[in-house]
Amino acid sequence: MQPRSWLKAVGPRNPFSCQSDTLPVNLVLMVKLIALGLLLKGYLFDLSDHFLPYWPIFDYLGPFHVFNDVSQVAFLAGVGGILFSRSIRFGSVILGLVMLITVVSSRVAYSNVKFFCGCILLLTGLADSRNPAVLLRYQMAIVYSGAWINKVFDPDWRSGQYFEHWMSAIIKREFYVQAASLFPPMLLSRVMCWSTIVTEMFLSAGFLLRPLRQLSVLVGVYFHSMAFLLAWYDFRMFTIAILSSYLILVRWPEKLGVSIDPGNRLHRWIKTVFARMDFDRRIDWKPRPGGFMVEIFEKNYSGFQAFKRLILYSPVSYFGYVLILGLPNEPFLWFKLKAVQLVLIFFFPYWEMMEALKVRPHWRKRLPEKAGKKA
Amino acid sequence: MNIVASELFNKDTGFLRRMNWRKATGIVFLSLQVLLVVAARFTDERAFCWAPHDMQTEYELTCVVNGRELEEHEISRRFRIRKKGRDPRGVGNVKQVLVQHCRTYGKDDDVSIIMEHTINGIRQEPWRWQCSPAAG
Repeated sequence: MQPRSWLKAVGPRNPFSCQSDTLPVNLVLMVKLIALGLLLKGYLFDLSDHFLPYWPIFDYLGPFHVFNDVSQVAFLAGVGGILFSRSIRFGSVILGLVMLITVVSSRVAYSNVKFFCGCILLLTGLADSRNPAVLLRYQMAIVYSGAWINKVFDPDWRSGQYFEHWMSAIIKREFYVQAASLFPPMLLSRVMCWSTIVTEMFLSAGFLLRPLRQLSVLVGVYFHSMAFLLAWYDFRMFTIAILSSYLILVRWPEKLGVSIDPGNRLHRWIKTVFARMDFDRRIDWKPRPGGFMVEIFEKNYSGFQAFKRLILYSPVSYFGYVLILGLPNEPFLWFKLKAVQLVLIFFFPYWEMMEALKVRPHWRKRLPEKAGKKA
Repeated sequence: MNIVASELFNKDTGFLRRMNWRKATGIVFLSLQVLLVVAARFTDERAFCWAPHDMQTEYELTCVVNGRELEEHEISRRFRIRKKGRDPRGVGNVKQVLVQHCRTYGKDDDVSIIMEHTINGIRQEPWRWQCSPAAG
């Protein structure tokens, strides 16, 4: 059997399917990406054995190796439950608890990434069917609030000393040192520190206030991607986890209506590729001579805009991105950096920003109006 | 704020209407985190307060146990941290690892620790810790 047929024969249990009776598509996709990322980044071998726990009770839970073995079994059960859609909620709770117990049961094993993944997974498992994203949005608001509050009260962040030291002495970015030398001492570092603080303030509000959500997705994704490009380091699982968490704010369509010209070879190729990746059968293909168009939430998009949205609303795209980010930095760092740069450039909302700023390039005025309205 | 209040308290769709155990668990869990963010203001330890990589501590340990100075591999085996290393989580996290080990797994040993360290590149006063079996 061809791999694709085998996957489809498994039905909604296949890892690329994001169907669930109790959770919306965006949250199912989010937990699958986080589970996949934890697996790729080797967190199976980075679980605690209750050495130096925050709570003394963990010292009475048996030998170190037994605790670690049980954690690993639970980790695999959680990942399996999520990736193979056996029970996404239950798998999320199990995997979330494993990550939280790992950080609580060992001071040396504590990391903010594990804590973050644990919180997101646990809260997804506890999500209310009527308002599934509420707890998660408040969680993200708390994350960013804690981050900017800590920075604002830290004199080294207010002065720029943290950034100055981190860029010049810790990760040693020569281009930054040269750029900083063009300005008065500490100025660039102070700007970078305060930009980080202000961005985190904005994001903490953005997850709570509906009018800011779309902009928060844009700002947050670019903010964390730029951190990766600047540091040449993905903070292990953090980049994958934080980017995946922005799916909390994404409204996923039940159906995408895609119109293609059957006589156009490129359109037929697009249909071949995306139909194969559409495991949940969300794309409704329609023949339409003369144009390529995508309809989402009763809005029509054509051309490049349509193609971008087709990629953005295909879950397989996200799996591919996580697979790239999950590659080890040695020897794939250059490839990962280029992939992130390409994604940031390709998906930047040029047209939406021009529309928002009411700027029309002169050449757009000469094009005939296309059928269907622009978003 | 009206938007947030509406989302939480709306008569028909408000999140806080029709409470169940899952919602309650989630709310308690989030509330604990808020408390921990506030509590972090009163300690130099940065754990569970969403302060990721906000402080770069570079340290070097000198550890004497029962009158004998430990070598690098012995410190790594005992405390599971390096003799000379960098911790991005905060200086309090490093100190608490050492203190807790002395008070628990190493409570029968006479331990003396000196930590030379910098925080974000600025040299700090050496931190000293001592514990003996009698003092605990």
